[in-house]
Amino acid sequence: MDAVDAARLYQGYGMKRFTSLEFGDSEGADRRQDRGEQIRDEAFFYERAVTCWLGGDYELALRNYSRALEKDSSFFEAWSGQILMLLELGEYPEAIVWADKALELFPENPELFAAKAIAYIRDARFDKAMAFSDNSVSKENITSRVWLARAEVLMKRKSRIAENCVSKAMSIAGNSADVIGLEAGRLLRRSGKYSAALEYLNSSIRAFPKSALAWYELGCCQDSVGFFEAQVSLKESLNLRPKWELAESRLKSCQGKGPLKRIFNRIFCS
Amino acid sequence: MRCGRCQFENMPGQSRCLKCGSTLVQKADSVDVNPPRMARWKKPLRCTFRWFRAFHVTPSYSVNISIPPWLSQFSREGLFGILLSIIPGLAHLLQGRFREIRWYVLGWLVSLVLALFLYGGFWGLCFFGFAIGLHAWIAIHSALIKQVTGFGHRAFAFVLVSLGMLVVYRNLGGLIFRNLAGGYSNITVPYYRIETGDYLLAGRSRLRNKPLTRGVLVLASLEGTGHGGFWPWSQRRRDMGIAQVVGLPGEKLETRGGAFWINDEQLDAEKYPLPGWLRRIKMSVTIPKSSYFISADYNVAAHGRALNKLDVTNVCLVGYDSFEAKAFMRWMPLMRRGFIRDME
Repeated sequence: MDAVDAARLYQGYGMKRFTSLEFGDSEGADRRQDRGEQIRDEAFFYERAVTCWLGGDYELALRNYSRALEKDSSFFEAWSGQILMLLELGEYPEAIVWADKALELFPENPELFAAKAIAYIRDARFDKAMAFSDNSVSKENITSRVWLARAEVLMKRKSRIAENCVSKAMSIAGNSADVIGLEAGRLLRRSGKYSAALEYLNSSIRAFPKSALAWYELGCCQDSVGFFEAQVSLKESLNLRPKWELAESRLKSCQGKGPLKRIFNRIFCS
Repeated sequence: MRCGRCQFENMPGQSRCLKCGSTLVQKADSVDVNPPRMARWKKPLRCTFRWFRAFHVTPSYSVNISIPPWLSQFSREGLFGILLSIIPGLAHLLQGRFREIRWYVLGWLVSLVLALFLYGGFWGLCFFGFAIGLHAWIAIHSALIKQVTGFGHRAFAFVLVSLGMLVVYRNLGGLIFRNLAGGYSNITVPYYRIETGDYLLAGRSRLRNKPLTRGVLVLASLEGTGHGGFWPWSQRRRDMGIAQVVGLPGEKLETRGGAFWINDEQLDAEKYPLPGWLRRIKMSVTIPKSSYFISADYNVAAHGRALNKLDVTNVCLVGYDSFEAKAFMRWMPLMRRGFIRDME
């Protein structure tokens, strides 16, 4: 991910103070170039964490979020990022514990409640997930992530209004539309709504052309609906992050798929 | 003092932001910023439990099952609690305290599955004993344990219930697997990869009113067979055991040169091995029309004397009624488990 992508991401996360320091500001960029080396502050580690996340390396992203917090423990985005990485790594009880810890520092934060709702829904504890999702949407200053979490919970319940929540998340995303679009695409793909997911993922690719994660998600989605382009997307993902086991195995299964299976997927899964 | 989260300018000395409630004063080393991590071995376990939860397989304790009070009261009586616990955990379920014994039920289930899987061997018997013990404990835990005090009384109740459970298991097992029988092999047949002492499964329906062919292995009542069995030092006479049908009704059977001869034709020793005790006896017999000649490695020591030529007609020539089932599977040892192919 280049600096432009990172800057967009920073804006997306509402990190105005870091935007003014690091990106989107030519004066700041010039100052950094003059120094020759970037200062290893929380913004630096946060940027690296986001880059790792977009590259699909959740473990490294988590480590960088931790290092960002070592610099500034009141840095909310890093706490949130840590919880999201734990969710990506499938460590749901740990994510809940960590969200509780973050709630001690940021009480009544709707994003943290939403993260807990996601952890519970992915851990197949549906009632608790719904309760936390209800709690998160009842708070003030609801962010896009809260609506995405709501959408995930409702999708598990096969609710018809789930997609409305995704639309709602996109409508309030503002500068973070690209990141939220990628998250929405991933969510829709996981829920089997491939056509809608493709739309979001295609725009994510335009926003983050060097993100292995975005290419991988697009490839998986295309593979699920039987598109031949899936192999190209997955290969692109592997170019950006060589030897990525997840992408390699998906590409292998994609290559082994026969034409009948593709036609079947095209008819019934799209 | 500016809030790092919302940039709100707070009064100095405040610990939390007035606007968003975030913590304001944080020492860098006072907060642990490294999240807890999952041990790698937990991953498959969690996936399994998650899968069960997703399909609502795990009992939901928050759901109130409406049980009539008389039934709940009934299950709290010691004897009735035991009777209900023939299905492990049923009495507890009716009393609304299944959670107390859920791990015992799981242990019982695992032990039972392992016992069935290893049936016929030492560990199979151990697991059966363990399953019965757990079952008995669940049964007395349902109600009796509160009514009987003192270690001695409880131990006695446990033993008594265990014996009762043993009878239940034996009869219930016979009922469920009524078409299935099993026995220890009394013969080594290289062609079938069977050795003396192996435990074979036999099907009763495979034998019913069907003519026998040469070479099949049958579960038959054998006179004086002491081989095999659970205890290695066991010398007791066994009634039922696995033997091989060698001669069919009306045929002339001879033993010479370390092999069977049928109507003056030598049989393949790998398919029809001659038992050790028959090697010493040179004999020729015409099999009566209603009988079969079965070959088994009789334990002569258990018989108290060496078998002679006259004994052959007593122990080897048996009627169709002596056969109980036809063996179809090598069950134990595990290494040789597999189906037995019929001879061509």
